[in-house]
Amino acid sequence: MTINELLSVLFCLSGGVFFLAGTAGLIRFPDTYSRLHALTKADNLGLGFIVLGLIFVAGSLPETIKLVLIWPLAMIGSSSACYFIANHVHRLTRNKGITRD
Amino acid sequence: MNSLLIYSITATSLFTIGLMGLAAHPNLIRKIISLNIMAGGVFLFLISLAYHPDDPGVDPVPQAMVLTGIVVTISATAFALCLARRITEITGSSRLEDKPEDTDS
Amino acid sequence: MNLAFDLLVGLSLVWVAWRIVGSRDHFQAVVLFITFGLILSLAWTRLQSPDIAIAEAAVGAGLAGVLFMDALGGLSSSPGSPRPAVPLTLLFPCLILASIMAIAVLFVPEDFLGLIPVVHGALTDTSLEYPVTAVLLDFRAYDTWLELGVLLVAVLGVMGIRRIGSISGSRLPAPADPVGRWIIRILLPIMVLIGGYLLWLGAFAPGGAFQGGVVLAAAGVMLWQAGHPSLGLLPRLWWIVLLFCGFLSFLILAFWSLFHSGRMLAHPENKLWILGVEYAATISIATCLISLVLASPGRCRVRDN
Repeated sequence: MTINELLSVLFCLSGGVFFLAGTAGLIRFPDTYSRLHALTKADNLGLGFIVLGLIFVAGSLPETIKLVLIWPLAMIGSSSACYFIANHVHRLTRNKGITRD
Repeated sequence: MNSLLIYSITATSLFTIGLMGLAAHPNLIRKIISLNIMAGGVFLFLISLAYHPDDPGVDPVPQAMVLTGIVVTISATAFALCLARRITEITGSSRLEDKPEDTDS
Repeated sequence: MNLAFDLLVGLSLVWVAWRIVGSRDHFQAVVLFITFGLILSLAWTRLQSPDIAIAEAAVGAGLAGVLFMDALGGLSSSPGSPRPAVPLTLLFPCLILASIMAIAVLFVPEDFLGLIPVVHGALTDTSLEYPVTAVLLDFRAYDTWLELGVLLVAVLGVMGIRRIGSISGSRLPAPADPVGRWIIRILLPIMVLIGGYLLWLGAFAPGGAFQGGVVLAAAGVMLWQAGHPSLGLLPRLWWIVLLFCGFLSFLILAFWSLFHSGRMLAHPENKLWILGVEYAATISIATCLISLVLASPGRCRVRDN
């Protein structure tokens, strides 16, 4: 096993730990806002680590660039999806006066 | 037990579940969703038969069929939803039943 | 390891499908269906079909989600009936059917190669290197041609039912808030770029007319969702040209080769022909899919019981 592969495995594993934490938060946290918080924060970090890990074993420069592009795109997507969900829940609770989980 | 078996049995299960939903739900949107699940099962079955993990790769003919199939399915879905709206406008209900006055079904 | 992943994907597909069918809440069923599309595209990736995965993610999770959500808003507001969604009398015949099909799957020979040798043998006859694109645009060009026809028929059918002649006057969703506008400003150019890139890749790597067209359609629908008329801005004549150009280019190719070599849709020697047909097909696929979503009509509130 070369040093690159070792680094790749290490980073991917730490990414996996963050995903695990995010999923635990999704299941265990009490309401929508904290769940969203767990998902967007932990999972984005986990994805970053996995992308970093994959860069070490990427074969060529174009492949690396594509891998690097994935991360900011996923962050843009997840942060705005988070905003839309939170906004919707906020409007629901404001209109109905109930907490929704 | 291999990947081929897992995916083809998943595919047949999806087809059956979709069929069940198609028969069970009187609501038209739910019927159309069930049809889409059935389509997913058929596509998965085609590709799982076309898939050979190592040497020759994936059979391109079923791949092309599924690719076109996905696009045809979405256009059929759009058409079906449009028909469902028309039915709703005419009958006043988005359900498809033999006895519309039967309230507990 | 791969086997464990396959098992996980397969089981979650079946579970989500079961939840979709068994759920009493229509909204929940639609959201689960979007999830189903995403898991299915994971399965496509595992089955070495990345282009199908892209198409599935754009269609199953994107376009289908928009269509169903829109229909949900227009068709039914009340939740379903309180009884169990799937009656037991239906469960048993379906279980029997499922086991019969599962047993049939066991008898599929493992060394069944299908048409792989035929396609790979014929690849030398065509200027395309990627076998799926070669099948779509060259070997089975008839099927692709008629498939574009099916898309056109679907658009014409929706137009006929709605009794509208163009999509320019179609109802717009509410304008997006600042965050929505911001994300569209970032994502739209990237999606158009990816659509074009996929189309360009099609000759030699996973990609092509359908994958590119579907991504472009998703971009157009996203623009429409933000309150912009997108394709509705086009004059009616241009819209019709875009709608029909894929079908027409196949027609022109068919007659050209009929007069030229005596056979319909015979292999054109010039690669430009195939490229032209592919680009036109991409534009038509994107236009048809966008029109199908945009023609989805205004609300009709009615009872659902």
